[in-house]
Amino acid sequence: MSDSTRMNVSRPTPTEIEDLKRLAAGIIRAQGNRFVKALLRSKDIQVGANKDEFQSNLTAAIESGELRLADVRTWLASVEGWGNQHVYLYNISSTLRRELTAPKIRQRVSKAKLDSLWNGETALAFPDEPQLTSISFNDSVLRLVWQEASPDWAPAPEKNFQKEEGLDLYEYRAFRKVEWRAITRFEARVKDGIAGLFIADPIQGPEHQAAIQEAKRVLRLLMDVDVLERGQMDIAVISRNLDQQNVPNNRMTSPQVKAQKSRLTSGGASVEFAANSTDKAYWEEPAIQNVRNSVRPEQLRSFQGADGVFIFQKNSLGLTRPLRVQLYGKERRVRLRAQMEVVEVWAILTKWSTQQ
Amino acid sequence: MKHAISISVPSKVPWVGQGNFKILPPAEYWPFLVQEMPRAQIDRLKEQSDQRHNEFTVSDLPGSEADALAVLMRFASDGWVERRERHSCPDCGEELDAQAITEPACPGCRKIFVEKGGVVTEIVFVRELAAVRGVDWVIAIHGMNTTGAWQEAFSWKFSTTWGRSVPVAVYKYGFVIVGVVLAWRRRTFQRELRTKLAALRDEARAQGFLGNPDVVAHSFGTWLFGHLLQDEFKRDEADRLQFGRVILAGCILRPDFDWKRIREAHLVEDVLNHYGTADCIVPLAHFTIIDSGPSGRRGFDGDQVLNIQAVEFGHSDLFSVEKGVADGLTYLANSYQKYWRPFLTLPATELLALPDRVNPPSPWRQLPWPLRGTIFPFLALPLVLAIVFLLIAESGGSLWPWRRPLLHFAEIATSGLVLLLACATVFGFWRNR
Repeated sequence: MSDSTRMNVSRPTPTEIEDLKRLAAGIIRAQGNRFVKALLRSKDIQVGANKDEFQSNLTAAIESGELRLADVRTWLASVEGWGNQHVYLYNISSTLRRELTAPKIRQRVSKAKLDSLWNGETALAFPDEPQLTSISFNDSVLRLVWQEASPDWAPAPEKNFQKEEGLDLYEYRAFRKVEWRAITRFEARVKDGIAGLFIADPIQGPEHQAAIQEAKRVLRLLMDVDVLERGQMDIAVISRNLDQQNVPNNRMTSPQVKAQKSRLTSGGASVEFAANSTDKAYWEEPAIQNVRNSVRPEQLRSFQGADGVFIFQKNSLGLTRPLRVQLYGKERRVRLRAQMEVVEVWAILTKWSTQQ
Repeated sequence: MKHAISISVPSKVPWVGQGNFKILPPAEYWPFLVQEMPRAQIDRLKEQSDQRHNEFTVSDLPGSEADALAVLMRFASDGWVERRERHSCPDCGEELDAQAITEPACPGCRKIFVEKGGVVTEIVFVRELAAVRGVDWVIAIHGMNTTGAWQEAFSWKFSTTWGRSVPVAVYKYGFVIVGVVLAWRRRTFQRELRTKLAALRDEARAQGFLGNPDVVAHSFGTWLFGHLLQDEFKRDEADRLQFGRVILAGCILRPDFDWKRIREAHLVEDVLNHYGTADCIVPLAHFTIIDSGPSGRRGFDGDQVLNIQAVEFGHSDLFSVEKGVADGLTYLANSYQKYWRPFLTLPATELLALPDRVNPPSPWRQLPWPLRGTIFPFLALPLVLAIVFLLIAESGGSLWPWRRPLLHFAEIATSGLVLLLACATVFGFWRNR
């Protein structure tokens, strides 16, 4: 940033600095280097060569007022809670579409006594339990956000110690608390006719199901959830079609999507094609491609899709990097395998709605 | 050919660092490696490499783990593969990238790595050979003076060795001799071929065969196919037929045929011209058929076609299932295994690795115009017709005394035919009443 610009920057208040430092210590760094670097570069802040430099530059930028809370809020909205999560997808029916209008949603929010959450600010919310923190309806997109402070524990072996008590020796292993937030979202893109419920909690354990139930409880206050659920996307069919359309032939030698794994089921049996490497398609091994090609599109009707892992190639759908997603047909669930930006997530999900 | 990677490797040591992740090691690399490493492991490695595997692990090779690792490390240091570490979560098994392993917990299951015994690491050796080309379906077009018996043998070979169903459409236009030399008949054959190929294309697409068909053509079939492609330019781009790779044998297209324009218009991908140096039929084409030439004897000019030379092979020898080469293969099996199948499947960047490529030493020069395609239509055919008429005229006098019995025969045949038709008519009315 130039000197003249720096002079125009008003000093942040001590509270803002404190808030930002708290975010920097956990939430900002948790977004992944790629996204943090993008944030710093967008503000002309030096990135640094290693983690220490990175942290010190971030702190300096906060203290000098080069990085402000408003910048971080905007940035977090586009990166936090996007990717590294499980998604349940729905087609928005015409019946539901008529219900999802700004006045009707606003009215139902008031009726449910959730006015305080309307356009709620989420950047500084760290509730201990999963909690709905924001509802908004802008540009025909209904958004609901739940947040939960969910700290990670990073090993800190330098703080480990041993202690003798009587005849026994005890070892104490230290873990440093790393601030992290679990974000659950529901987003209905009315114009595109797609909605998604995004759950960050791991599929193992009760938290995942609890997050779904909580989301549905709130959604029932705003819309007919039964109608929404009737439009749930058949992920098995999407997986099967996405795989079939991207098996290369001599007219399409470089598909936009690489299938790392695809399992086709028929009755009580299944066949799975899979590459060992996460950056390869199974059909990149000639013998496997030959076997896959033996299943013709016409015969594909005999199969139901099941699980699939797909790599959306760089430059496809406007992506600037390859992105992996996993489809679970039986559970009608999608797993976004990398942290992403909101535009990346919706570019992929919108593409899928055409594969049903 | 476009995008060619030239394979220039030293024939002797050292091989260190001479490799390339994107191509197969040359044949001479393996005997060199055998001198220094265990044969059983090198043989297995070569087998897997020739099958175009892109990943190798210690467990893929026989013998001790230490020896297998040493072989793969050597393969890597010579530059043919890259050693990589693949990390996964000790709990859920999810593969972890470079950033994920620096984090305390798995991004998938959020289990802390150290509590589960640490990140699991596997060593693999990888390379980046281009994916093989898919063959969707194939069209076989035969030549003149034959009913194309080779098509059946070729189709059988294809369907029994590919490992999956690759349909071969056998196009036949019948046993043709005179029709070949008559311009209007050739055009009729060409029109019928186009109609059939368009119908096959539509039918194949409807059945889910979405790729372009590859083509194998012989002799007069090459002429029909080449001229069909030329005529596609008269059509709208969306209406043009498109083909994959093309194999020509006993080809009678002009050696200066404009393949460049055809390839640039994406009417075909790549062309292989397999020519026999002892083909006696092909040189006659230029004398008998307009706009033809001896490309099936000498190869095409320019750099658009892969000219593969078959020394001492005659016009149809490449398809022969009676004649065989030294290692017990029939000529057809040899052509198929050594040249055609690799040509159909190799990525475009590796086509120049096909053996026995020999281009003509100098550009072809056509004959003076009175000799181009004139012998049969303007000389031989009138000669044959004149002889037939002369024979009829000569024998006419001796046939005259037999006119009455012949007329009697004709009357009987005509009466019988009329009676048959009348009966058929009455029978028809009776059934439909």
